[in-house]
Amino acid sequence: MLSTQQFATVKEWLTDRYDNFSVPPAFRYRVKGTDQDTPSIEFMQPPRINILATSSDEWFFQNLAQEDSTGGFLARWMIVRADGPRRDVAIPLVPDPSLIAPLAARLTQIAQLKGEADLLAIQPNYEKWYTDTKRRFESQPNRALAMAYFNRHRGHILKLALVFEVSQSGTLKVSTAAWERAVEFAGQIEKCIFDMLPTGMSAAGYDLQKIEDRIRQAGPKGISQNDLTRGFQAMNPKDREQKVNTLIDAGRIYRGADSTGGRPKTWYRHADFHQGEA
Amino acid sequence: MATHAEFDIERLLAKLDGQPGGIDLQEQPQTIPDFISGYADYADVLEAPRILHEIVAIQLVATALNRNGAVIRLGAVRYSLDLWTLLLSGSGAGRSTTIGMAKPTIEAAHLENLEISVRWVVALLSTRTFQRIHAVFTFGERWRSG
Repeated sequence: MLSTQQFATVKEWLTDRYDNFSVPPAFRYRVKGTDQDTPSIEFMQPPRINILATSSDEWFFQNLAQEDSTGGFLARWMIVRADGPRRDVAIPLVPDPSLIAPLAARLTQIAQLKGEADLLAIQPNYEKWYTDTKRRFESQPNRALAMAYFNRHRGHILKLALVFEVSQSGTLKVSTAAWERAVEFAGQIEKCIFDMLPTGMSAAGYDLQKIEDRIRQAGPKGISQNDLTRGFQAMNPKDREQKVNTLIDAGRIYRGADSTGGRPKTWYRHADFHQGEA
Repeated sequence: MATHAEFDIERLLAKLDGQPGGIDLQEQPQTIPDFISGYADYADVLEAPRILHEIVAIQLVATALNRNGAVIRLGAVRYSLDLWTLLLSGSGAGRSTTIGMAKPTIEAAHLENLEISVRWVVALLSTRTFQRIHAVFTFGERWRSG
């Protein structure tokens, strides 16, 4: 939606507002002196914005624009991929209504908190985490892109630590217990970032990764040309061929052919399983 | 078409609405030692992974703090509680239902203005209401057609 013409400058505007404590300039519209004039938008204080968005992997990647990463918009997001083991819940339960009131009471208390977080107890932990984590991001193959995410990740973890503290004690004095919860949660986000970095955070990169994953899943036996085509038959044949060739050129997959008397059968095998034959 | 879970939440809200004077938050014997895990315990009744509920709770806490101007100072750097979270999952993982489950808690806490659904964002971005925004925007699958 934000990539449409109607919202041409919204991403940039939102990006500028993130952790920004200055009052944004007003929006002024053309004044014709009629009742139909759009009133200007003048800000009295810096707007604070929290966003909770959901998407399927497929839709998210297919709609990524190159500048979403390079402009810093995407790095500001804390991306959580729910790809853990699935459960089977044939008959969903009703949430326990008796929990609503105590939850609401806690939320009401939280909504009254104001002021500055006290990080004194966790500063040594943060310094160590910072160095260790920065090294891990720096060692990613796509270092420039990885560092754009680290530069926001280092702030996300502090926000998480404060949120966990408030959640458990109702105070702004961040304890090591809340810090440890934040580190664990940030670890999941870090894993998610590292899993996504090979895509270059682009639609084309995501398609490449899907093809590579499919071939890897086939194991040491590899996958036949027919099965691979069936798995990605919705993809334009020319694009599919080009992507497969890109993966071969990058040494991520290998192509071979088995000749058993009849027409040779083409197969693909992932580099993780390839022993040098072909 | 509503899922079973959505249907139940609507029924639950109707039940809460029907209580004279709503819920008295002062007279609840049960206490929740930790809001995030307490909320996840409450909402974790579907196939959706628990982490999705934890994220919703994290975002509720961050938004409540952000609205009051809570800040984190780290040396020369100052952070707000601006938090933009994106839940990614396979199709049909119950993401929209997950977000909808926060509604009874928000309503019972009388913090309805803490959450603004995406359907209002288009209007907000083009009106002066945006002057005073301190809320969590929820973007679900429907933003595709937006």
